[in-house]
Amino acid sequence: MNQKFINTFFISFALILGLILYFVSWMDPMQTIQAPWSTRFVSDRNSTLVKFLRMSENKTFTDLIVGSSTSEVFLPQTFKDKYNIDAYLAGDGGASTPVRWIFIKEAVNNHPSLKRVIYVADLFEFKDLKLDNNIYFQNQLMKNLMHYETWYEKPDLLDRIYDFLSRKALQNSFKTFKDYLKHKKGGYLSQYRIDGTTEKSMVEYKSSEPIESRAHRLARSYKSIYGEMTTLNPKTSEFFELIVSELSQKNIELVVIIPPWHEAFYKTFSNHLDKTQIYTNWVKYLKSLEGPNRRVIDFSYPNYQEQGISQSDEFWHDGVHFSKKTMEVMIDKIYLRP
Amino acid sequence: MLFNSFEFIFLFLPIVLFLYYFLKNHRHKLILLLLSSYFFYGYWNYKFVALLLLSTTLDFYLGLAIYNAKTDLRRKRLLILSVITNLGILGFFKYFNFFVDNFYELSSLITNDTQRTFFLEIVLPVGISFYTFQSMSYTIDVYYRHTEPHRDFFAFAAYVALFPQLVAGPIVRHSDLVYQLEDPKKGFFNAENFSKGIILFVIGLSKKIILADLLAAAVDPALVGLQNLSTLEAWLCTVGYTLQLYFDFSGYSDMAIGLGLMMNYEFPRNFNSPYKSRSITEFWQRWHISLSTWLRDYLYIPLGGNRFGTYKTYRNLFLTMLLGGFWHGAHWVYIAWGAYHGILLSIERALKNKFRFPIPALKLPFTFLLVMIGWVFFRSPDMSFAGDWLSKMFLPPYEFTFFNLESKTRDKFIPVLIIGLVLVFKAKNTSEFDLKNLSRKPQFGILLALLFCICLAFFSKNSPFLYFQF
Repeated sequence: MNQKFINTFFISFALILGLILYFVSWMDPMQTIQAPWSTRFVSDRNSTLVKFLRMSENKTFTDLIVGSSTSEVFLPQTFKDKYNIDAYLAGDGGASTPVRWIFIKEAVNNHPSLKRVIYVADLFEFKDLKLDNNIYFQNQLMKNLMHYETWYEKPDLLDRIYDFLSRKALQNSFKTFKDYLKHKKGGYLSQYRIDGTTEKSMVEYKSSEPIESRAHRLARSYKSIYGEMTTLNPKTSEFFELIVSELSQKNIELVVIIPPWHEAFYKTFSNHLDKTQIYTNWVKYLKSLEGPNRRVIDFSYPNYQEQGISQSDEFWHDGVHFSKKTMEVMIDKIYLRP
Repeated sequence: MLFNSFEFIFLFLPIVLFLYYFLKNHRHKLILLLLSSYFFYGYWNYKFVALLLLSTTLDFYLGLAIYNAKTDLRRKRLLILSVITNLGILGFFKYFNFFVDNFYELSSLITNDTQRTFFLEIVLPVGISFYTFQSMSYTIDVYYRHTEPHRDFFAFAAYVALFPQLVAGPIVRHSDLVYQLEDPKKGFFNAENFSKGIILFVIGLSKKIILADLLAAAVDPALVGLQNLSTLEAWLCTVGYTLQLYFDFSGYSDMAIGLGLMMNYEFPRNFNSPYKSRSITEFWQRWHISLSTWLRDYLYIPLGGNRFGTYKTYRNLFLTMLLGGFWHGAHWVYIAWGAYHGILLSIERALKNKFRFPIPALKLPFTFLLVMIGWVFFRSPDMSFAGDWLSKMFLPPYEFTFFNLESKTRDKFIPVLIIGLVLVFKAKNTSEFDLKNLSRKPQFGILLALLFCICLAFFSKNSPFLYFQF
């Protein structure tokens, strides 16, 4: 009977695991496996690729917004309403500098209408330049990064295995499967609009929790990022130089926004930041990018307080993500030059 | 290498098990165990394999020398040499900077000079506290003639380095394992032991991955912002950490025992539902049993135990727990934790037969509360943090808001906390399971396989066991 137990265990394990592996590779939600039997269906779970493909469909935008989740509040609709400008929001949560370069290079190569790149910078860009699996194993995205392999960390085989067998991959596969069924029936519609936004982008964040508390809480989850940074990664500067050079050659304006941090967020790290000077050096470095056809608009802490952005709730989502009201102050600075 | 890693589950373990049962010669099996254990250890940092080998070699030859010594004086001197060497190695790697730091702190009070001119960057070798104690217990047992000396270096080295229990216990006594290592019958595949081993391994893995790690995902970030926690949140973190530590460590022990069983080796149980204890004395009979019995046999009893009067008994209890706390780490918080338990044990001893707990039904929750308070020190990075944490729990203002736990982990935290509490207070522990019966039910094998796959989905590259730091 014990032998039967052992056999049943191993056979069941092999079958369940095999089923999971087949399902995940069949759905391939992030297009990272690309097995012969993978569906090649791209759903909104793969936000980076979807935004990339949407960008290629939009032939009219003149202003491209790149950045991480902090940039996702820059709504192209606001650009249109206020300044009659066609913008495309390519900002993506956690996007590292190489990922931003992917969008910039694609826009430069294939969008002759492009006049301006609005780059919402993040301090974490100067930490690690690691590419996630969903970027590195995706050929369409990687074609613009092929020449710069020594500049960023690549996922290794173990990363790929952990990712393949992860709970997140399984969850994404199920969600992709639901979208795939709709697609098969002809009813699937991507949430992403032609300007890179979704319905969710329009919703203003509301919370009864005081902003100071939200900012503190966020700071705790950023501790492993900013709490451990001691210097600025020189490889990131190489990407910045690449971006500056590329845009300069094509006569495309670069506007770098140094985004604000709420005081409560900053003060969580202030001892460390004062000791290492990473925040100050980062601001200094970005300001040094100013030049012909290149502007740097400084909303860093505490400078933003002189520019009409206060600590109060209406300007903030949390310690680093700001509200639409703050965004409007920023785009006024971009387009209303003195 | 972690037990909860793909490299271990899909490469190391299957290869070692396959070779172990494929090899026919018993000596070859021992050499395989030894080499695979050293590989397992070296995978973390190959430089410290030499240290493990040094400690093993010293105690092997000292054990023989003690046994063969002609006079008691010579035997004693050799034993002292073994103890000094083992504690010296442990002391250097684990406690050197602690003593240097405290020396500077003390001298700065006198001289006002706060500059630290001497500091060494010392990496703490994984498992050093465990294998030095395990190895040291061997020479002490030989000295007291509780065990014969080992005459086969490979078998002895395999005993010290055996990978299932090398880095975080259980601390296995030589007399418990040597006859197993030397018994050729152990090299034959035993389906009952193997299936019991699978059950324990998967259950242990589930405790770690599904319970402990989920609790940690809420507690760890919340404690980073201790200042902002409400009273309720401080208590939730305390309960959360109490459960996290238990599931993490007992989960590891279950996995270690399960791995041993897969190779027909029986390790002693390390946990016996410690949170069901009705006194601190009972708690220490149920928590980290291999360490508490080690401390009892090699520290408390040699100090005199309870044989030399009341006050010396209290002294011995206190010292044993103080040093037991210090064993856990080179920091005042561990010393405080050990001292706290030493005081509680002494008080319990003093009140034994003199004091009746007013409401017997409250003994368990009261003991649980006392244990949780101790864990606050254990978890804190320093005494000031522990003080702040306890203040949040017990002192005004009393706030009952619930904002400071991350919303995405908060949803899972409360259900896991409730499940955890039910498991620790009501459920049987793994040593109480009828493994013989369970291992005969193929349908249980299917459930276990499903549970195993769920655990695999929760693996991450960086999820070490808490007791690895000791």
